[in-house]
Amino acid sequence: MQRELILHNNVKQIGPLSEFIEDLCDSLGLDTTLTFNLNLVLEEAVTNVIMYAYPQDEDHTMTLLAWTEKDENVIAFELKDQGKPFNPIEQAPEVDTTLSAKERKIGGLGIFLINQIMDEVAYRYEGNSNILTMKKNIKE
Amino acid sequence: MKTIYIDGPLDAIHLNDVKEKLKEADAHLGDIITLDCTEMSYICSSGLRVFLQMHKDVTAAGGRLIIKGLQPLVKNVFDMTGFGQIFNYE
Repeated sequence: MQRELILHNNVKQIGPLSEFIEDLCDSLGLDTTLTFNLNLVLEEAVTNVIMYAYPQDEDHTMTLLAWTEKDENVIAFELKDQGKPFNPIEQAPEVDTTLSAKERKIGGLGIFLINQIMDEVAYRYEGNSNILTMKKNIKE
Repeated sequence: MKTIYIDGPLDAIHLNDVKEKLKEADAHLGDIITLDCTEMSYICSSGLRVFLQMHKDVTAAGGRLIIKGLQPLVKNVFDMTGFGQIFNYE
């Protein structure tokens, strides 16, 4: 199974993204918890590109690929954009979840959530593209 | 006492609507403010940041912020980020 979605760098694209993920999860028979969490992961990853990869007033696109591996035991996503080089894994600030509200910094939570939910997260810059790969075992 | 109702998904699309709605609390920051999230079906990290900022503002003004009625999957997002311990829940 492989599917592709082209998205523009506009937050309104979260709508079609969410439909894409729900349809995908539905066809794989995933439960509501996993569907909810994968939706969250992809929204965070796509929002990151929308906010940081391109100037806000320019129209650009990114490509989301989704596929399964290991007999549909693993779901994999690849998000590719041609914006400025940005490694969300390396550049994300440390998130200390044990701090109190007063001490908690506002930020870095998106990539933190991606790391919490997914089993494998990798970034590479290749051929003028940011490529973020995320995988999760869907059969426990 | 002031209650604000948050409904629908708190995603990047609805973020500004929710921020706008939270301004209802501006005149009550030193008071007890309840965010009723019974109808909030989703939250993203930007939504969590808005809640955290609200918590800081209310606490700084001597008030108290209460989060009410979180749906289980939404509560799970709070817990994953350690926000489970930060807020007062009802």
